[in-house]
Amino acid sequence: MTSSRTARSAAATSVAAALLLGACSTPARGVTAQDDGALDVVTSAYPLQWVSERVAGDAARVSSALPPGTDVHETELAPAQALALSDADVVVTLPGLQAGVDTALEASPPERVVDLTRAAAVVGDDLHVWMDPLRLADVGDEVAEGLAAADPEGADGYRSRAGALRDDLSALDEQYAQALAPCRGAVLVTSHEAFGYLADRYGLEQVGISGLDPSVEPTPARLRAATAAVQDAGVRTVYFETEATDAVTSALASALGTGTAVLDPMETAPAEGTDLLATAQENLAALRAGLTC
Amino acid sequence: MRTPDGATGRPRLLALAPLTLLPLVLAGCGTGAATTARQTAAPADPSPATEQATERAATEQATSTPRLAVTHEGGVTVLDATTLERVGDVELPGYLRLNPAGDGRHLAVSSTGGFRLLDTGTWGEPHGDHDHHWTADPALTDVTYAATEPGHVVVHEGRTTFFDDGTGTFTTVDSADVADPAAERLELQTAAAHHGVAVQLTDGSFVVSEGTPDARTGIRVLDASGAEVSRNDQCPGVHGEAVAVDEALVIGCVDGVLVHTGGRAGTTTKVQAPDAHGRIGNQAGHEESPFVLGDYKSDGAAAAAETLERPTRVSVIDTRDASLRLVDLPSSYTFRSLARGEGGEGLVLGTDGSLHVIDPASATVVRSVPVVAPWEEPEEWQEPRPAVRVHEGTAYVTEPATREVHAVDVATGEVFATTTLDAVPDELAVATGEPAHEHGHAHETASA
Repeated sequence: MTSSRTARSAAATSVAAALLLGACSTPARGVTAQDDGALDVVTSAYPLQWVSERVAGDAARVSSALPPGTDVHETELAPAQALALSDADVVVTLPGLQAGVDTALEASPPERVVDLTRAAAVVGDDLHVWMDPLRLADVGDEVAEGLAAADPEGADGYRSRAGALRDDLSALDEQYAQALAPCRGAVLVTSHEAFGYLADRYGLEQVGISGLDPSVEPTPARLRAATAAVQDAGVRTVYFETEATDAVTSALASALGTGTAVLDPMETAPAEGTDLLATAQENLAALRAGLTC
Repeated sequence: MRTPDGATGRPRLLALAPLTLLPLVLAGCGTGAATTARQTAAPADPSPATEQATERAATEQATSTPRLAVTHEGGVTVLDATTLERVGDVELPGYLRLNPAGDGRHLAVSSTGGFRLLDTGTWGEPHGDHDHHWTADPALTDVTYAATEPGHVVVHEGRTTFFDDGTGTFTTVDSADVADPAAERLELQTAAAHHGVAVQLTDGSFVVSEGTPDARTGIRVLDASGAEVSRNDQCPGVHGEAVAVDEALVIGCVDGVLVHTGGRAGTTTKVQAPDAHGRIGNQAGHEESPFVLGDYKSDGAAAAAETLERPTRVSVIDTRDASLRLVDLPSSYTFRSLARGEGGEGLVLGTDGSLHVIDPASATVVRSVPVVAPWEEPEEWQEPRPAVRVHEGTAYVTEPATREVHAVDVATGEVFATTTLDAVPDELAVATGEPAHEHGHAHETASA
């Protein structure tokens, strides 16, 4: 119900955006739009942006509906962001991921929307499809088809770049498969259940523990609950999204006998000069080092 | 003015009293159908609280981040419930009461004009198969549930009900949307103003106290539209409620309790206290336990003289067979002393400074954990005295004498955190930071 509330206010925001749009006397364009004829592609989350950029190459301009670094779960879109969405030539989105984007798209539909739900083979409520390289390759193909439909002249280029992306992601998949083969059946304990597709692809079992914060020493009760959750799983590591403090690490070490490590859910843009593939490599190293293989 | 018993805060759980099942109602005397009004708050407010909250920088957290609010003279201090570090202060005049508003984020502050929502700045949002959690600075919102005399607030299974003692009106809203000024509010009216309480059950029906400013007499069961379905008039001095498992509701009376089970078409049973004056006015329930813990005062002369009784027994009501047992304690306690542990154990904070743990099934004290220095109950109910609230296996205990707040691990008795405030702590409330799920499992801390 919380989400319905935020959805409602997001709707209000996009209505406001639409009004604003209507009030403009010139053909309104999104904040990133330029009149050079190139496709204006807007995406709703970093992994989708990364794939779209790879597929677009120089033939289209890709931007995120949200400023770089914004968490994918931010629920509100600013009017300018909603405007950029409604004004895009193509919007690449995974409905459910970003309530503010969903609402804005509904309130003020852009010319073309590429809905990745089917291509990504979404299972249940888990939308972290980019954790599975092969799903992401399929997403790349779908994006290529979407861009090709909007810009038929560039179709060959989009498809060929999607093919190159698939090659990279297939190589990543092979690396993961080889490195994690000895770990099949291992339990992956995480404070954020974002790794279900990864776990399924490589034969791991994801166990989510709520109540643990990498920067705050848990209460005795939360520590007991975590202990109960991982008991008998034989795990050596609890994975957090960010580095745990010494106090948390030592509390978990004494209560659970585990270490801590970082596993990045890749929801937000990584540091300048790196990308999703590099982050995936870091994740693989953390898994190899921390899982009981 | 409310008696100490009237001051009970937390209507989370209700239990019901004894046995009768009264046939349905008598309409007739003007107390028949409650009047109904559906309304939404005026949308004219240019700065609804939800937007104010979003304007404050929100930080995503790895897990739910419960917060603890403590009233004192001059306002409310908000603490991180894990570390007891202070995260913010809100200034407010007057004597303040605090109740959870039901969404895990806001607290209802009873003050002049009604229940005003305090945003504690911690919340969760469902995200597919798991939740995401956020924090921001605490702030007072502009969202108010108007009341001439704000009384009890009850949160039950996703619905929050605010009772206005001054008019006998109660307002119910979806707990998750409690801070949304546009949320639909259902307003119903009891026959007369009284210090009352109302609960909405999952079938939409209500159980509501009945009375006048001079005499509170029993309860009525209303259907979702406010029409009376049944009533029980065998609960003199009706006060307080608690919910047990299967939505069994316990309502306190001066001579026992009423137990209501079965919802709209259910039954209400009177449980007679073993003493002619056997007052139960404060109850603590646990929504997975069939037992409700109640206070127990048996000094009729003290009650008649309106002097303070310092009881040393508590009651345990078994809602399955509407039975009542008394438990002797090594000390007295007050209306701020009752709580339930994570596993349903009864907790009583005694004037000997210990937290007494009661096994409700055997109605015995199983252990006593020293937490604060011994203290004496003040004569005036508004005077601060040690208070206890429990969340996720941690008991939070105030110690007004030292201005301290302690966090106690109920299972081991370890006081794992203590903080000293600038002001004398009085009332406590917890904001869980968890989203309000339809069928809340607020006590869950880990899931596989």
